[in-house]
Amino acid sequence: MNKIKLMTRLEAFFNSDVKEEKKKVEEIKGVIKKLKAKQNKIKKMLEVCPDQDMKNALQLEVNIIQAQIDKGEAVLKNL
Amino acid sequence: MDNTIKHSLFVLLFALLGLGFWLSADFKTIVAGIAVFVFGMLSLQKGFKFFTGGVLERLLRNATDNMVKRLLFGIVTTTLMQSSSLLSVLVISFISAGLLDLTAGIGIIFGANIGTTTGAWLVAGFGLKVNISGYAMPLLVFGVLLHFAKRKSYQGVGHILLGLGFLFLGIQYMKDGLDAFKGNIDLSQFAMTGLSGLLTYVLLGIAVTVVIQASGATMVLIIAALASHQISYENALALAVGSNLGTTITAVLGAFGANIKGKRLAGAHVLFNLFTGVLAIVFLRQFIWLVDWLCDYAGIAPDDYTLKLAMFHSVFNVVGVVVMLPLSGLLARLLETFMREKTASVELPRFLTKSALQYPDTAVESVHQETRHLYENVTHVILRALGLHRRDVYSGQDLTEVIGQYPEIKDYDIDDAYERNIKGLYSAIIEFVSQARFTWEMKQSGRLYWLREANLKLVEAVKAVKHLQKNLLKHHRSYNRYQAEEYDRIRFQIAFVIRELRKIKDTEQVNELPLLTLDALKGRIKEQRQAAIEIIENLIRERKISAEAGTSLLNDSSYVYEIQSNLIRMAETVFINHAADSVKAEKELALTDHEMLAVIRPTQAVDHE
Repeated sequence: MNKIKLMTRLEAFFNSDVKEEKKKVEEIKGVIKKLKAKQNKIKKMLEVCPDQDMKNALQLEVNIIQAQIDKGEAVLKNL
Repeated sequence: MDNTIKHSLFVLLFALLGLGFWLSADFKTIVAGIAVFVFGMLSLQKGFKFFTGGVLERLLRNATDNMVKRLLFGIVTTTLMQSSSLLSVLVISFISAGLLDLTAGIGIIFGANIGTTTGAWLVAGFGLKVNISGYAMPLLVFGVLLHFAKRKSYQGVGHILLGLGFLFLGIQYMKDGLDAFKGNIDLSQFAMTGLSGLLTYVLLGIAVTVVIQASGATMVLIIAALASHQISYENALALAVGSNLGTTITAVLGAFGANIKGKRLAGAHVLFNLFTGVLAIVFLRQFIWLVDWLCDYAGIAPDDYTLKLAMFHSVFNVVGVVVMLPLSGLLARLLETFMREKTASVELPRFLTKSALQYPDTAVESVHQETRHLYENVTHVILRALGLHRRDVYSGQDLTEVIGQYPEIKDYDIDDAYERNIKGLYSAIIEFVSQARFTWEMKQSGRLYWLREANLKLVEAVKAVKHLQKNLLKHHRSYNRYQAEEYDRIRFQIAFVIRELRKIKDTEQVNELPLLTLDALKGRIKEQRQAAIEIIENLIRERKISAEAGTSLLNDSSYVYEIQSNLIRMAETVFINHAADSVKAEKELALTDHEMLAVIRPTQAVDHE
């Protein structure tokens, strides 16, 4: 094993936590992105929904998704 | 088709009776006598039922440990009650409860067959020789007075006295009717001799007993007809044999609603009566000789045909018992062999195999697949209990429309469905998990623990729907539209969760945020529960539903939440791939109970703090 290869492997070993964290951040960002898309979709449904009960249910879902997004963003800040 | 035939026969019987009443006043008296007699028997049975909770059951439990006691028990109780039906019901219930075996039950039924013959003796020896209606009147008066008493035992005695009074009155009517009938029509001209006569009158006896549904009443009719010389002695004997055979129809009809043990006992009754009937037909000459000899010995006049008929009735039944009694064990075994309990087709596990136990990951996957299988069965049962079908709930159709399509909820046997579609699978999963989980490393063992919990949640959901079903069936078509609407809302809410879980189950592969979708669903059912409580309280406050209906609805909304949350918690384990990186990220974003409450009811969340 040459020196460069050895150094690369050592670096990867010591940076594995950072790598995992980066991966986690990417994953959370991905989830938030999907949540936002889902939230927008529900908001559009909400605009055209004629039934009040259904509207309430959709609004609740929007609120829950918003809380999940907020929580995700808070997690991202702490990472 | 079956009901149409029954209905037609019933109408025909009414028409024939109406025609008979119109043509002959004497016929009316005879039939009224039969009706009063049968009513007396029913009243007598009702009276004895007041005491069956105590004395009769204690006797049955303690005094039937050998065959002689069983026979005596059957003879004495049937003699007292003048009907074997009540005793048969009691014996069937004891056999079904495992307190009596079939052989013992057969012994009692044999005794009951001898006991029923005492009725003929009483009528022939006493009923026709005195003015029996003179005894009926005081019995009826005392019976009615005691019937109004508060104490149950007095009421029971009242019914027994009324029963005896009506029996006596019925006998008198039959006797009078047949006496008067003779003045107008002489039935004895239809007397038949030889084998054809024997068989014709046997068939007539069967037919009359099937129509009257009480062999005791038929026997009284035969004795009364014989006493008024409307039928010949030989034809009366054939009628008595026919009545003995006809009474088996009553036993068969009674056994339709019974379980297999009851059916076996009815089978024994049928076989015994068939055997004694055939015996009496084949050896009629010998029986007549034996009856003459016994009557001579007992000092009964050779021309006292009514008592000789009673003797014949007893003799051929006693001979039947003597022949059949040693074979009762064999008869019981025969009936147990040929009349087997139909085992309900229980659904078997599809994925659990012995070989899967050897490999931890395979075993976990097998339990996982089997749990999904169980989930499908559970949702089927839940939706059927709600009067819905999976195909509609899983379709893209609006759920409110789906519920509107099925306004009627049929009584669905959840216990039976549980036995057939759930219990077997659940037991197999639990057995498989118990065999597996202690042998392997922690990871698989932990996964199996959660899968076992998921299965438990499914079973709990079914139990909750069973509780819910009672009120749902009672009130979903309530005249109170608010109450009916609430039950439709309940149906919608459960069906909605099942529909959403189906989506999560199907999208687990395509990574559509299954965990956070479940999270939102949890929030939705929590909000629904809170809203349901507020709606119900408002309905009570505005007097749109009664407080009783409101409390039932509150209880039922708890069952709804239990069903929903159990299904969701199961789905968290079974439908989510917790090893996937995206799911790990989703976990970071999932809301805690308090965070969820802050979204649903911000004010309540602050109060909690």
